[in-house]
Amino acid sequence: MRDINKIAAVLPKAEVRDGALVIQASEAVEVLAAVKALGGFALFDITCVDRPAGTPPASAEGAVPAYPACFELAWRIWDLSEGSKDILTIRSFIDHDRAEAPSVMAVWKSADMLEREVWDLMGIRFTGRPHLERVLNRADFEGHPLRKDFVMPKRDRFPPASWDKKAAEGGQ
Amino acid sequence: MGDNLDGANLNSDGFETQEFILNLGPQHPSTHGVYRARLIMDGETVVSAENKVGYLHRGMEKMAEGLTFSQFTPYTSRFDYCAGALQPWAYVIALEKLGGIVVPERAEYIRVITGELNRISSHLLMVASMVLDFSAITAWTYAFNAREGVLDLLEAVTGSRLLMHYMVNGGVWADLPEGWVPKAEAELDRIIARLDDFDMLVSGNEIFLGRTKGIAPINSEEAIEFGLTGANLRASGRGLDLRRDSPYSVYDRFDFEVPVLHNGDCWDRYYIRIMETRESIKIVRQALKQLPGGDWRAKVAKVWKPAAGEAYTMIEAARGVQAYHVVSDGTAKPYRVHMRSPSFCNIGVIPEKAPGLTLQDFISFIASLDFVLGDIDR
Amino acid sequence: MELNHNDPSAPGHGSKEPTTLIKGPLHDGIEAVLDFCRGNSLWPVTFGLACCAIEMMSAGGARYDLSRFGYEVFRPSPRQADLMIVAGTVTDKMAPLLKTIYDQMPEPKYVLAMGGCAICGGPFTDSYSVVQGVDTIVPVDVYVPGCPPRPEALIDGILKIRAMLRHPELREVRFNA
Ligand code: SF4
Repeated sequence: MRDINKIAAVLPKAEVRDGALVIQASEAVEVLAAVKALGGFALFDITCVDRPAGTPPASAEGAVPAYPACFELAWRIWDLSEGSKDILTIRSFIDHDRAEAPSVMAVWKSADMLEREVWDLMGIRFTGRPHLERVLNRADFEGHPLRKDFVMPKRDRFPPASWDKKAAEGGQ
Repeated sequence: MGDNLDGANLNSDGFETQEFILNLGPQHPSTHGVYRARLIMDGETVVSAENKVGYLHRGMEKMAEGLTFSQFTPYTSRFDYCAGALQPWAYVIALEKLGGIVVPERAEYIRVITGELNRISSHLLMVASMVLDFSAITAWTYAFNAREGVLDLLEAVTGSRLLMHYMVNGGVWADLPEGWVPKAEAELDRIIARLDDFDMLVSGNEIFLGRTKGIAPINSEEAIEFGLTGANLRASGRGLDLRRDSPYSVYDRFDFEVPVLHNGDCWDRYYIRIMETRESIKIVRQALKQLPGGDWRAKVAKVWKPAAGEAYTMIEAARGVQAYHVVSDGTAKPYRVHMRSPSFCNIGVIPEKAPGLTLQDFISFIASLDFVLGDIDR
Repeated sequence: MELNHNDPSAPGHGSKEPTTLIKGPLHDGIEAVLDFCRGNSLWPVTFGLACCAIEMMSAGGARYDLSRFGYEVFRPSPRQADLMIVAGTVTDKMAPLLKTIYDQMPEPKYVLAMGGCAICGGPFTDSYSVVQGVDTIVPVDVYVPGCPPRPEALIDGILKIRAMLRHPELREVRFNA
C-alpha cells in the first residue's frame, strides 16, 4: 500500500482520517481524477451506508468520528501498483436532505454500473451523467430499499393488481 | 443512435437496411439466466447494446439487516450460485475481522480445498455452457461429466451439490469425512483426464475457433477502466490474482502459476478457464498433502455480537474479485452488508464492446464474460 | 396489459379444458391415448431463473440423463413446449414476463414449480421484490421442494406429471384435498 499521507499531500482537498481520505462530496471528480493521475489506481467499488445521527461506530479499521445523520458514500479505489493490491478508501458524508454527489463516470467508466446501483438501492442522485436509471428494481418501484427509513411494502400472496407490464420492464 | 428507427442505411451489398430493436432475453437460451440485452440492430450487426438486469433482484442486502450475522451466511452462497462454496468466504473473513476470531489452520486448508474444487466446478460449468451456446451438445456432456466428479467430492464434504453452506464464521461447518483424502486424490486424476478430453475436443476445433478467435478483444487498459476482474482481466494480459498478489487464508503456502493470455478475445477468455482449472487442481493436490490435523472450527458464541465497526474484505472468487463491506453497530444483526459483485462490474463492458459485432458474435461475447445473474442482481 | 390473477376470465387462468368439437366418450378415449403419449415426451421450455436451473441442467447431463424418459428436448421457444419448469426465484420484475411465456405455450400445458423459491418464495419470502410462489401467477401442477432439489427429485417431479396424465383422477385428488 502506498502511503496514504503521501497521497493526501498531493490532493489539496482531502484530509486523512482513520486510514481513509475524507473529502467533500462536491469535490469528488477533482480528487478522483487526481488520484487516477497518480497512476496504478482503478475504481473498484462504491459503497454507501445510511448512518443515523449520534451512533458513531468505532471502526475496526479506525474510528469514524461523530457526525449527524448522513449517507456515508465511499469510493473504494484499488491500488494496483507493484506489491500492493489494497484498497484506498475515499469517504464523504452527504446530507440526508440533499442526497447528491457528482458522477465520476468521466474519470472511470466502471463507475457507470456502480453509480446506478447506489442510486437504485440508496437513492444518491449522481449528477452530471447520462441515464441514471434504476438498474435492479422495477422502473416503477417506489423508494430506495437500503435506506433505513424504507418501509417494506406489505406483501400478500397475490401480487398487486396494479402490475403494469410495460413499466416493469422499464419502458420498451 | 437512440430510438430513431426511421433512418435507412445501405449495407455493403447496396441493400437498404433499417435499424430495429432486438430484445435478447430475459428468457433466452444463451443469456445464462435472466440477463436481457436491448440491442439496436442494423441487419445482423449490433449498433448499440444496453444492459437490462434486475430480473433476479432478490433484495438480499436488505434481508441481511433483518437476520443475524450467521443466519445470513447461507444466503451469501445464493449470490453466485455456480460457485456456492466459494461465496461465503469473503463474508466470513469480514466477520472474523470484525470479531477478531482466529481460524484454525486445518479449517483454512479445508476452505482452500473446497473453494478450489468449487472453482473447478464453476469453470467447468462456464466452458460447458459456452460450448452449449454454439450447440456443441456432445462437448457439453463431457464437461458436465467432469463437473459431476467434482460435485461428488464436494457433496461428500458439505452435504450439498450446489449451494453449500459450509464456510461459517470461525471455520468450516464439519470436518472432512473419513477416507475422503485418498478418494479425492484418485478423483482428481479422473477429472484431469476428462478435462483433457474436453480440451482436445473443443479448444482447437475449427468451428469453435471461428466463433471465438479475435471476437471482441479487450485490452488491459480497457479492462482496468471498466473494472474487469478475475479470469476476464487475466485473459486481457494483466496477471492479477489476489491469491498470489495479496494472499488471504493460506494461499501463500502453495506453488501455482497465474495463467495470463494476451489477446483478450473470446477464445482467450475461454481458454484461461481451462488453464486455471489445471492450476486449481494443483493447489488442491498440495493442500491435500499439507493438510494439518487439529480443530476445524474456532469457538464462536451462539449469540455472537462483534464490536461496532466495519470491514471491507476481498477474495478471488470464481468470476473475479468479490468484496464484502460489512458494517456492524454492535448488535447481533449486521447494520449493512454490501457485496461488490464481479459479474455486475464485468458486464459494464458490454455496451462498449458490442457495437460492430454480429449477433452470433455477441452471443459468444456474453458467454465468454461468464456472468451469473444471481451475482449481478443480488 | 393489466394482470389480475383472481379473475377467472383472464387468459390462461386455471381451466385446462381442451377446446374440441368432439364431445363424449369418443373424445375422452382420444384424449386418454394422447395423454398417454404426451406423458412420455414432455418438452420443457428452457426457462432457467436462478440456482435451481443449474440443477435442471445437471438433470439433462450424462449422469442423470433425463432423456431416458424422453423429457430432454428443451425448447428455447415456449411455443414449441408443453412443460414449464419454473426453476428459480420469481421476482416482481420477472413475473409479468413469466406470465407472458406461459400464455405463449400451446395447450395442453403443465407447470412444475422447482425449488422453494418457485413454491412460496423460499428463503426470500420476506424480501421486497420476490413473488411468494409462482402459483400466484400461473396454475402449478407439481411442486418439487428443495433448495435446490436434486436432479433426481426433478425427474421424479416430471414423472409425477406423467402419472397425472395417465391417471387423471390423481388431479381430482389434489383439487379436492
Ligand atoms: S429454491 Fe434455493 S436453489 Fe432454488 S432458486 Fe431458490 S434459493 Fe436458489
